[in-house]
Amino acid sequence: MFLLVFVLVGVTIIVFFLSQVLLDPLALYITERTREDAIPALIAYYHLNDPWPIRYAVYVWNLIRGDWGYSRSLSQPVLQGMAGRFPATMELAIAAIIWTLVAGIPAGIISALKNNKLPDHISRIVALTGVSTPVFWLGLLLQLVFFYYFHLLGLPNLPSNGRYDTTLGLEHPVTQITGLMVVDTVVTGNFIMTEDVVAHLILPSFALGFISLGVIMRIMRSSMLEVLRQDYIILARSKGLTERVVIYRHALKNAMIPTVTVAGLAVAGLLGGAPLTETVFAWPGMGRLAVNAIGRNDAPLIMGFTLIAALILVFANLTVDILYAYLDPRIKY
Amino acid sequence: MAVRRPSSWSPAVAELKFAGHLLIQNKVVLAGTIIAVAVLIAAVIGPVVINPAVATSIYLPGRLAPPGPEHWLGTDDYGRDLLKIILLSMRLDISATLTIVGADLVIGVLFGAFSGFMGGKLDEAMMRITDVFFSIPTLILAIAVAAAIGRGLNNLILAIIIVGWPGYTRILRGQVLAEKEKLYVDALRALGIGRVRIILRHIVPNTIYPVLVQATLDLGGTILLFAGLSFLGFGASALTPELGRLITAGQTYIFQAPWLVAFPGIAILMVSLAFNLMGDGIRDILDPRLRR
Amino acid sequence: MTESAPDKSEALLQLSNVRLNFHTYAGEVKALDGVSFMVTKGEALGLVGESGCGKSVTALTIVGLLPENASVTEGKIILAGKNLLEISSEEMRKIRANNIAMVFQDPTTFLNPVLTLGEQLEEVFLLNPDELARIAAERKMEDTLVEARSDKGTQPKENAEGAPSTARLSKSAQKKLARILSIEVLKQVQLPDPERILKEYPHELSGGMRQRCMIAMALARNPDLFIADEITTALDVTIQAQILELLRQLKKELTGSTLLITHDLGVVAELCDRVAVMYAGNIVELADVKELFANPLHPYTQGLMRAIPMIDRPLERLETIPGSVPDLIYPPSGCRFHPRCPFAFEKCKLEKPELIHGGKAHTVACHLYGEGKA
Repeated sequence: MFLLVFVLVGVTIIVFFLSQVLLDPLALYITERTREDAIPALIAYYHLNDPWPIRYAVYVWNLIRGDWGYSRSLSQPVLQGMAGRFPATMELAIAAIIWTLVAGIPAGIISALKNNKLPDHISRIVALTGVSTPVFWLGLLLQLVFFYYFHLLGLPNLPSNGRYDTTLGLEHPVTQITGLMVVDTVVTGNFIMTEDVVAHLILPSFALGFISLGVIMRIMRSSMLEVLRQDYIILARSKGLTERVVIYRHALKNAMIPTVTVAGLAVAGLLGGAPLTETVFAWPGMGRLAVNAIGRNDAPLIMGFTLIAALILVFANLTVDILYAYLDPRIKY
Repeated sequence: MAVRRPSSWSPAVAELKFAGHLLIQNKVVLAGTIIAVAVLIAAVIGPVVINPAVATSIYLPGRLAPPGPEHWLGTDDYGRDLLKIILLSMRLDISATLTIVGADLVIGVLFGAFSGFMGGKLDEAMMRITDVFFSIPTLILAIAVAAAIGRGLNNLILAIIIVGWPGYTRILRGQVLAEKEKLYVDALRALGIGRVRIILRHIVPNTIYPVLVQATLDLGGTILLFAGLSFLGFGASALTPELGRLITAGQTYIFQAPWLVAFPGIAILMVSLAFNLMGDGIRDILDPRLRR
Repeated sequence: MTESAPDKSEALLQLSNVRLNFHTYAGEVKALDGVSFMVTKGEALGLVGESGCGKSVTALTIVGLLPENASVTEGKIILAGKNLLEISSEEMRKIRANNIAMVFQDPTTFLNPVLTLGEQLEEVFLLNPDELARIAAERKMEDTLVEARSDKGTQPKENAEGAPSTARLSKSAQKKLARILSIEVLKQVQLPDPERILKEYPHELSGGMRQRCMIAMALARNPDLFIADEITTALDVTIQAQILELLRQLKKELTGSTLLITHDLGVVAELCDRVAVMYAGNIVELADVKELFANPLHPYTQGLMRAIPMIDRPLERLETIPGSVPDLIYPPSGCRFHPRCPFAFEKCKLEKPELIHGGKAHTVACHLYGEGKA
């Protein structure tokens, strides 16, 4: 647990260094309404002229208090601006993870069981392609085919922009509970919107998940193959257990262990892919926010996004550690 | 009785036989590797054959032409022949990728070797530092660093280098920890040979295999990262031929002139695929050796 | 192929001329070169030889658990009238579940680390619900199990005479019975506190305890043939002694046959009725245990005997057998032992010796005996 705290501290140090040392420290806290004469007061308040350790301490203290600086491009404090877009990114990421795991794990298992036969070759090709495809390009192609071409051909097409159809949304307004629109619409019985929201999720989550799909498939396959070579599988078979039991009871639990670890890393990949995917699909999430900030030289927002991404990743890895301890009885905490 | 046995052949030959056997056994990998090598050769030869001035030869009347006999892949919105531009771009992307991974390899190996060998507080600190790097997604950290150090192609390369070394450090450190317990290290110390020399001349060469494998595997991901960041606006300027940039430019015309987006992307995919296949092949060959 | 089988006993398992190859990059490893022997009902047959002579491979061939690169090129393995090499994998699986049980060498790697011992033991019982029902009926356990069944509400069917029929038990009843039987079999292998052990994971137990658990898993099936593949090799000497003691006890209690694979002649002397000596994929000698020790015929066996210290002989230098185990990709011609044999002559290089009678209930594969003596 100590490690977590230390890592978070380390992250803040990096961001501090980037935003306060390499860049103009004042830029973080100035808004467009700040007057010239107010600047000395600001400098004093944030201790910007003091030695670095003090500056750092003040910086972190402000982070904790929720003052992450001001974003020029949003005309909003950084934290608030991002908090608004957080659910959108989460929904996209969760959708991507779900389909990656649901498709990737069974595919990896089948690939291992039918080692070196046709299904294995196909899934290895898919996995390899997934790992080599630029996600932003994939997103664009998906839009081209499923939105534009389908439309031209008269087929029902998938939407390519945003989270939902705004016109439809006016007629059937969605009450915000969790911010996850799929959940909210289902819970409130607003099924017309559910359909719309899900339709909007399909392409972006597919694009985002496609890369991780390859990674998960490969690790599942290789760890399954590794496990099936183990001695205890020989014993299990020698007991006369059916092949099904051997695979699903004895092998799978062991094979999931490395996969879970890799899934944690895959979350990192998803977070990294979010800016690109959200940009391509005009998805109103934090990633897109950060990308816009690039164009407008809005460093505070970029730094804020970095901090949040790190927080999410740390949390995800913590979850992975817990799962790991649950799966492998040899690990004790 | 004189029976011809394989153990009488030199070990090196036997190894090569084994490696070759592995490679041929997996026909998919073999086919892919051949394609990969072909792609890379084209990328290297292309710019030599093609005049770099093509990049700036704007011919607006011919812009946005679809693929045809004159321009095999069509033309972009400046009227440049897309095939030639793509080939020029591939060179930039590939050399940037090699530079990045090469630099990260050197940095990572040095840090990892010293950290692992010296141990103690230095090692602890290095581990924590790498932990921190690992908890920020690579693309995002690269964006942050690039935002801090400024725009431009060289700065982008530098930013990705800064973000990428911790992986190699961790791998090498792990190997060094095991290696330094071996007897020959004590022997060298007893001879009075300095630690730096021991690390560089002896430890590193013996432990570097897994890192090399990882580096070749990383080439594919790195080019995706580089192209992705270029797509977002970092790095090269508008006219410079770079694959990510081409896609950004092509985005505007995606529905009218989809080839502008499709072909550069295919190029990225092929280079990345080539790197990945090479990496897989090298790993398969070296892996049994790693386990010994 | 002649065998030294006592005429009255019935053969349980018969191997005839089994040849097996492994395909490797370096070449074809001719691991088994015409192995033939028989195990009669109720006897304990020892299979001895150095590491790499093919003993474990023979066992794996019997149970059908060879790796993918192995192929049997010739031979038969007959158990209860069926050729195990020709039956379907489903039939083989049933035979593994009911008739043959195997215990392996290393209890650390052969037990699944993420399942409790209880789970790994009970699943053996749960393989056979009919058997469970029969045991429940036999022991008149309906009362204790009815509590387990009450949640399902099923009642045992009774036939006309009022004896409970062997109807299926409910799932929860099966589990309860499996648990009870698991505890019983753990007691049989002399493990203290069986209830606690059921809940533990393999890494929480010592090596000796794990090995006893593996033996328990084998006993649970009450097999006709119990194969023990070097089960004491991976253990400390003191634990080895304990396991051997356990096996001695079990031998008195159990009715099935045992195939005991080991490289330790001492173990053979203690536990076996007959012994087969293997070298480089061949059975070179086969005899009753006392006869073998008293009168080893094959030069290899003689070499083995000289290499171990015996209490009743004055302690001289222990002799080794010169040379080393042959490369099975390019095995020696004729008799595979001839390069190391002090008595080898021309015929040994040319012709492989068959197993022939060399004495009472004693067969040997060597040109020194029978016709064609030098």
